[in-house]
Amino acid sequence: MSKLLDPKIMMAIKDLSLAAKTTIDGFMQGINKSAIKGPGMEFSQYRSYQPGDDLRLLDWKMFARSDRYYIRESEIETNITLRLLVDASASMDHQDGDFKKIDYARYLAASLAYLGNLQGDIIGLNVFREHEVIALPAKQDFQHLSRLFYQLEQITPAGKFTAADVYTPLYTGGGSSELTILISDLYQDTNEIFELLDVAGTMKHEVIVFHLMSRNELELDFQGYSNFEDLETGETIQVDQSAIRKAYMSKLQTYLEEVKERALDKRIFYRMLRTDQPLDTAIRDFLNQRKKLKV
Amino acid sequence: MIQILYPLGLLAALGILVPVIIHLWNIKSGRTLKIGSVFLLGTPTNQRSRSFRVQDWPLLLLRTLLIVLAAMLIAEPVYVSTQKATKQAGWVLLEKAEFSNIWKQEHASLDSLIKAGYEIHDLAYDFPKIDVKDSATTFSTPSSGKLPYHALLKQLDHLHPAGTNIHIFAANERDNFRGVEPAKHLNVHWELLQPDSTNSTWLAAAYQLQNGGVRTLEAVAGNKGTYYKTTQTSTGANPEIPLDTATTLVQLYAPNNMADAEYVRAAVKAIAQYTERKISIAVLTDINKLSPQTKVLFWLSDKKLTGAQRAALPRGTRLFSYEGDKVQNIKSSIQDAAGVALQNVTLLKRTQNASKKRIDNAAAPDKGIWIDGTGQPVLALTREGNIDHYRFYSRFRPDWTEMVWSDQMVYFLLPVILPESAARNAFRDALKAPVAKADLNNAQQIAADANLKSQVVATDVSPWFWYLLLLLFLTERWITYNKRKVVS
Repeated sequence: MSKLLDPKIMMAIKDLSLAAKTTIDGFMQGINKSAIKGPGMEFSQYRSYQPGDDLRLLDWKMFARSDRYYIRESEIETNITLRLLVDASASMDHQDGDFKKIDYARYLAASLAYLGNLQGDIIGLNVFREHEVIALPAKQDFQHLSRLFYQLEQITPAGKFTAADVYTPLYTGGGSSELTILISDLYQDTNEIFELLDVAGTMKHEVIVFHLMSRNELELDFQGYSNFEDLETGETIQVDQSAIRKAYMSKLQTYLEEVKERALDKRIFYRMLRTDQPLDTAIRDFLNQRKKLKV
Repeated sequence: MIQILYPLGLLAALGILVPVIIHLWNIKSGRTLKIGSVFLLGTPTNQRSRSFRVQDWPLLLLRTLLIVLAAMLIAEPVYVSTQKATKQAGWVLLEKAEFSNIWKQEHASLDSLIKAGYEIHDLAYDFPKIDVKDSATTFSTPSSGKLPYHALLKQLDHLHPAGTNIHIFAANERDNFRGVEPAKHLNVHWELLQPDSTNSTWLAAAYQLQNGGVRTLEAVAGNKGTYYKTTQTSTGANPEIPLDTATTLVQLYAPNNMADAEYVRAAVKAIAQYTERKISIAVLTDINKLSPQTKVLFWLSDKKLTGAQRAALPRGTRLFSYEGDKVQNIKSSIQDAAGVALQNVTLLKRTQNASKKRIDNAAAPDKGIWIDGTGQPVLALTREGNIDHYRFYSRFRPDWTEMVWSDQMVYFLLPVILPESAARNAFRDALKAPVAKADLNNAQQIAADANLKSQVVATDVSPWFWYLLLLLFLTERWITYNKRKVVS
């Protein structure tokens, strides 16, 4: 499998669809198609009837032609509903180097949507802003993908994470199980993000959380700065980085552990992504989870 | 041990407040980075305490040190150390111009002193060394920095450790021993010499005294200049020179300043008493009743003489008047044109000279007989028509000058009362009187005992402070520059 291009380069491509296509095509090269055969639209092969086979699968036209029993097999084709949740709170404006977390989230969401579309999935998008949720209903067609890309491009992070009363209506309907992918930095005031995940969990959705962390956060490398302002609360703090490094690192570790544990408690697939790393882990996780949902 | 000559300069060290404030301030104006969340960075409760924390202790320390050093430089540090007195033979001091004379008279003792390791130095300011064996040494020219011996002794005392033996060969003229003999640490041995006898003499003046006698002035021209000797005869004129029989009538006009007039009267009386010349003093109340015999008129009034009144003065009158209106506070000395000051006299107030600019006394239109420490005339003489006008740019009052309390006022007024140089110099005849050895070494001998043979030496250490300052400055710059590079 070819190494994916550096996110820095990919994000320089302003056209999301192109960036997503480049990434996914590069990723999909050499990945084998599904080996599971079964009923479906796309013909795969004929095999001779074995006692015990479902008679409904017998190809009667073949029997008429050749007077033999054949079972018609086709590739199993399942299309799942994929719902991308993008956190657009102000904290997503956190910058490391040339790009922000929201850029990475946008690119990740676009790539996953493209991949999903390639596999015939139904894709929806929810962008969580402070007082509204931009909700793109789940559909399966190429034009819808363009709409989705457009919405992704329009995201400007601001304010805090959405309050529960704003998004609850979206999750009231029953419906089949979906694959919900949350892309967020998981910085929350009280517990609002996990509450959202609870809601998704109760609907028996398969949930993936991609936790975006930038390099400078993980390594405490804000060179030349001693004053820091919280993007969401506006609170400023003065610290000497070298002095608090040890405390910061241990605190960060505890925080990441805690988040991971909470996600696992809720049977949520959790993955922390470094924004300076390529997307391949994220895509692989996506495919694995998708497979689970199919079977 | 480091000592400070100008402790007030340490006030400059208050300047350390500046870097301290800057370093406290610095953290507040630091650049702010917006990040996703600050909750990992720490609790905001300690934000306040942090905002007053000094950053960059080493840099602050450097800058503080820099300012303290600069303050120290202003305060003029010296390193004071006590050095063990070296076993030095000592000095022989003599006036260079007198060397041949002294050599003639004191050959034996000089020779033994030189053999004992004594160095020969000029008895003048800074005591230049005389190399007797060097043929390039010129003895004929008088030394430039000639000062009264007692003043020189003071300087000498600082140059040598206590108890050093100093042999001084000097002419025994009282003139050389003006002033008060200083207390000293040195062992001074005076070798007083008779003045050179190869002088030519002549009669300079003769005048009648108050008691009817006659005094003749004999000028003596020696290799050190001309001085005068007086001889007193009972009667009879000397055919060689005319006898001066005139009486000097001194008139005092001081309608509102009688106290001033009293000081003048006392001084004039002293002159009369000492010289025994015919001098009479009278107080004038009305200028119109001025006696035609008046020789000297003291116009001790702020009111100026009118032009007509001045023109009416008898021919040859010496007019002494207060000059100037604008009072100026000053703390200076009164010196003659050659720069020799009246001793122990401070000039506290003076009036401003007509020409406001500081001018060269020698080139001034009214040439100062006496000048103050800044070169401005205090007593100036101009010839105006028939009269000699002495302008006095101060007042005879204790709050103007200390002169009125001192015998120096006699010297000050002498050129006014007795303008002829011969007469004046005769007054100083007493200065040529020989000094006896017993008169000398009367001042206190300080710590000449053998136990305390050490000397306090003060060395200027400011160059070291300069080097240190430069080093600190460069270090500070270097650190600051590197810091900036990291930030950018």
